[in-house]
Amino acid sequence: MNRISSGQLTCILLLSEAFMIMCLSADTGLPAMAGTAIGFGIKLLLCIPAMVLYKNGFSLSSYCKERHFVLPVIFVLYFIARGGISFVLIWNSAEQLSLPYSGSLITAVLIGIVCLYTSSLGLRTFSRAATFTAGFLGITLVILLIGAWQRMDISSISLAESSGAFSGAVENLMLSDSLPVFFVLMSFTREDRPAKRLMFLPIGLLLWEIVQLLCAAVLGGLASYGEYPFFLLTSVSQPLAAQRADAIYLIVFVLLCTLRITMFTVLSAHIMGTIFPRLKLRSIIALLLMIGAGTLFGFIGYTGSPFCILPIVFLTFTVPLWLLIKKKKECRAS
Amino acid sequence: MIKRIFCLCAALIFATGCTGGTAEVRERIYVQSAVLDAGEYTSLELFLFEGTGELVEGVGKDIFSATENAAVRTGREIFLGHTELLCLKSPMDSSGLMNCLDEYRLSPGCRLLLLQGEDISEDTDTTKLTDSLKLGTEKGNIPQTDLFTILKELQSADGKALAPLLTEDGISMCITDGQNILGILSQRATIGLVWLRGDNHPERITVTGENGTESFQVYSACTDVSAQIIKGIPHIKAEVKIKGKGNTNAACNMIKAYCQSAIDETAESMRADVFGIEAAIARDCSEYYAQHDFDTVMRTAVFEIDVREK
Repeated sequence: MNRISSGQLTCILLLSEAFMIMCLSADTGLPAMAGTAIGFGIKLLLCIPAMVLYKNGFSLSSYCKERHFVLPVIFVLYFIARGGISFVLIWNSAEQLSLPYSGSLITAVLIGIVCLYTSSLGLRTFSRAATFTAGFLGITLVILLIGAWQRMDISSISLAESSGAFSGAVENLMLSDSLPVFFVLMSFTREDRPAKRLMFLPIGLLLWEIVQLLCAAVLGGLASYGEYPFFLLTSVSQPLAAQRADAIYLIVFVLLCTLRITMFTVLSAHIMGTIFPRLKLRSIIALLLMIGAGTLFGFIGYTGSPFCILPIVFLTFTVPLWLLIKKKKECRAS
Repeated sequence: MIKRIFCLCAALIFATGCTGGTAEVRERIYVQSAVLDAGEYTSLELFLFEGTGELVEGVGKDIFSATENAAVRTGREIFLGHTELLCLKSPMDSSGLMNCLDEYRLSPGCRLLLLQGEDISEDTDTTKLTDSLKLGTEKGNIPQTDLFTILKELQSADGKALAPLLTEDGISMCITDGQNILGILSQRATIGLVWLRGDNHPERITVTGENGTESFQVYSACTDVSAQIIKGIPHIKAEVKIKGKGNTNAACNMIKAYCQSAIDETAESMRADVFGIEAAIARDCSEYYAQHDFDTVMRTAVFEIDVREK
């Protein structure tokens, strides 16, 4: 694996956040926006041990090579589970976006083929693709803003239903699977100022707040009508009077889901490689496991619960903290 | 290198949707306006964009099957995404309008026109009808409405919306609850709603002052609807500020009279919120809003209008 820059790290994590914004039904309105801000504040605190750990010269690859298997296996299982949930989210939201191929199997196979090719090119190429897609996402956001501007009504914000700031914060933390990814990707990021590496948090917060504000100001009470407020927002935020700009959202959605699953495939395959160096076709194995997990989650209708926060806190906060304490003890002993 | 070129070619063929499920422009019908009659059976009359001179009809159990039926008759796919005007023979509820927006991909800016009793024949120029709706809105003769604003109003607490209605005399405005037309508004109330909603004020109005009839040029105008609870009763205040050239006092008095007519005919007589009453109460008196149902609010509310120079 090659090294990536802090900017590329930010783009990869932002795209993952953007996909979650598009796919999941989140609350809108001022309390929910406050909850999102609290959620991001907690995320920042959760990132601190990982930042300190990497500052002290930690490397996940070296750790895996020291024949520590448990932690890498947990990370692989987590990424496969999240990849599986991503497939379920795509299948669920495909009908909303009228994807040309909405059959679950054909969608999974097509995405799988693209992900397999993208992951075979390595992390560096993937991160370049992420930068390009982030630019495209920016353009899409501008188009969304232009379309929504004509429909914005600040007084509608008070009509947006919201279950409160606490619920907003919990919901936001549930979707924070980019934090364990951040911990793993830090191993491949060039050394830089901590603020640069954490840029995905303020930009992600801005992205969330913009979408939530637009949903509340444009849709008002209508936001609770649709299952996916973002797609409802795009339906009504058309920059041209008698022409729809759905194609651009469709392209972004497909790009984001492909990159997100590729991200989980690349990381799973890489960690698998460090645990089992002789294992071949790691990307294919990771993808097949993800599709299998997706089928299972789809069968039981699971896309997330507040318990999702536990593995995020464990992998992003508890594990780095434990490794940090362990390292300090080793330093003192030596 | 060969592998990359192969993958690029494969992506161009498979990923761009050029292989199947696509339609050429000539294989599609682009609908300019549609007349929908959603009775026991749904009938759909589709007027195409200028130049084609064709009327396509379809009947089915719902809009989807009616559209399919029309497509089979003509042998071409029907594209509703550019539809500028949707005429409804009877009012449609919010779920029906949501389907139009979400499932049939109608533009949120598509104009809606109710046709209670009036009919649109094959000879009707629906483009002219669309243009007169647009022009009426631009000139500030009728309030700005479209598919999305009507849907949003129908989804609000009172479930009533302001919509254009085709009458013998032309285009009027009416209040609908998605099932029936509750009442047709007078010309004065319609103009009053233009000012109360504050989306599209006219550029010039004719006022009667001490020197007789004269013209008042409106440079800018803004409307603010606010709410206040006084002795347990909601007081709704509509504040219109105008800036322009001419007899400002006469203009203010005239606008106030129009606004009063609008309030009398909508909020007072039909309990219809068509100028942001609910939003104002939810924003300014959130506790009161949470404790009372909106019907009670509308029954007890006291309205006040203030029109003045900016």
